[in-house]
Amino acid sequence: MNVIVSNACDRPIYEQIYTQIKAAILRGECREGDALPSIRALAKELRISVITTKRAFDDLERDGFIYSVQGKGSFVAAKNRELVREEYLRQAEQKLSEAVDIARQGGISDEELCRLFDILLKGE
Amino acid sequence: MKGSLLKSWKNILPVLAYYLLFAVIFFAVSFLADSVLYFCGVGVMIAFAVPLSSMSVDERDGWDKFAVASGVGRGELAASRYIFALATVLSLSVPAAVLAALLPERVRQFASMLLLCGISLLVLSVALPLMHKYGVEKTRILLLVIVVVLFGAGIAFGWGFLLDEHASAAFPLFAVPAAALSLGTVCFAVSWLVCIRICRRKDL
Amino acid sequence: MLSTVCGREASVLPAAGAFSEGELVRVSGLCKRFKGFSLEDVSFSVPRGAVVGFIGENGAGKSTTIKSLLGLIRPDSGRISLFGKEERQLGKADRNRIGAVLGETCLPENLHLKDIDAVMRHIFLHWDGEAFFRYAEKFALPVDKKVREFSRGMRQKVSLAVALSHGAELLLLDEPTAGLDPVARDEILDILYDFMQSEEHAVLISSHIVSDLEKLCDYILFIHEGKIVFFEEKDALGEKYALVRCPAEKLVGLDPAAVVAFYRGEYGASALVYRDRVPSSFETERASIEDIMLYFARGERV
Repeated sequence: MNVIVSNACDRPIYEQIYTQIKAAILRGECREGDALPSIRALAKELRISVITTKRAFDDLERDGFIYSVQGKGSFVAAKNRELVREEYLRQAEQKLSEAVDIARQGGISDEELCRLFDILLKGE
Repeated sequence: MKGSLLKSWKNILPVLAYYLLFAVIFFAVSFLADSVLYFCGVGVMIAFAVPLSSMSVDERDGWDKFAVASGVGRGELAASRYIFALATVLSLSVPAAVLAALLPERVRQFASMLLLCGISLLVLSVALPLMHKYGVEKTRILLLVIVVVLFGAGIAFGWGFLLDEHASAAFPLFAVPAAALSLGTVCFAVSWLVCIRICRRKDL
Repeated sequence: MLSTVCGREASVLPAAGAFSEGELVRVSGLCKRFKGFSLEDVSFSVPRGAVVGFIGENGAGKSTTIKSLLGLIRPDSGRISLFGKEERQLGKADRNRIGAVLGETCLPENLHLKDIDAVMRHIFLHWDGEAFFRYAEKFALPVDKKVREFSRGMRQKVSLAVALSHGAELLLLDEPTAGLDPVARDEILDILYDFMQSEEHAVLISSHIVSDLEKLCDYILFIHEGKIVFFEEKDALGEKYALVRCPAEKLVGLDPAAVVAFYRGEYGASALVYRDRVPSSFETERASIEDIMLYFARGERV
């Protein structure tokens, strides 16, 4: 699993870590039970503070992607179908939203867009 | 304590050779002139210079700060300097005693030796607390003045006393040296206590 | 005109739960008066497992504060506790749990490394000579030269090597990276990260090279003219403050309560603002710790 953070990016670093680890888990790069690097080791690796990595891990745990065992570290949680589905739904919504924006910009009418959408769905 | 003393020892090692050379030369002079006074006079100066030099190095190194931060008590800090100074005086006393034993008029030589020992202790009693309170440079100047005065007084009275047959007949031979040595020892002890107090209060 | 009351920006001591139990250092109301300078009402803590970055201009009071923690300076008032005990009551064993690097190298400079090792063996209760020489090797310190002949950077590294070689849990570092090139500073950062792999350790590090602290630190303690301006989680600073750059006329439109400090120049103005009090019509930029420090120290107040 690669975690790459950037200071230049506007988003807070803990959010970048959260997003990347979450994506890796959802993509299946990390399987259930895989151990995550320790908070302190990751902080050293990324040259950031412990409190930042801890926050990312806490959020991941809160959202059910990982769980921690006292004294042993954090591990990837079993893929929660609901969460995965939600994630895909969110991505689909984002892409559709982009399509709507583009259509509007290009002066394409809503009916034309719906027709396109139907064709695409049927074409699968 | 061991650490502080080891540090002081290692600090003066580089210049020890010079002091030794000085001491050896004046040992020879004393031997040839049949009087311990030459060696002992230089001894007083060395007994003053070595602790002063050691403290000067410590000042430059910021050793006190390091030591206290590392758990060396402030009392111990002061004590290590007194022990170091005492060790210097005692190690100079040994060749002085040898000289006194070898030279003619043995008793008179011992008396002179004890007198100068007492003077060393007195000088250190004044110098050490001053160094801790005002720093080495200021003390150096002050003490140079005092040493010159004492030397002059010693030559005018103390030594003249011993050399003058009439005057020395008025007092028992060891009266002045014994007084000097006792006074020196007492002052050294009192000075040690004063110095501990100075160290305890000091901002480093 | 700088207001002397910089505003006690949330001198909130950190919430429990962020790190393992306990604070290794707790300071309340520390005051010390010197001729021409005084520390006033300094309060902060260093939680176990955390790194606290201590920033402030030269002469702001960082060294004085750190010296007070080490018992080198007697405060006029206030409480200092280390490892849960009053500073004045710390015995040698407790003091040895602290590794200190002071501004100047405070080691005997006429000695070689092996002499330093020999002396330290009798100074500290648990001196680890092997670790010391391991650090010396890692830092490429010459064994055949006196410390006096080392470069400035090397002398800093010896001090750090000593501080790390007697079983310390808490590091108090006063400008440990001053005078070091970026490569050396990165090496030291590495060492500090290694030190912090243990949850039981903590570090208080003062530096005016803020970029170093920006990476490692969990908390930032900012002191200015002897007073603590804020003591906050580093991440929270980025969320709390932001920079706004715009024409001077537009700046006037900002609510004064939103502005911490500002600069007005010939070609525009910039201000350090509270993110949540600025309307979205203003474009905000991320404020680095250095920005925050500069605006607090030198910016104009509303």
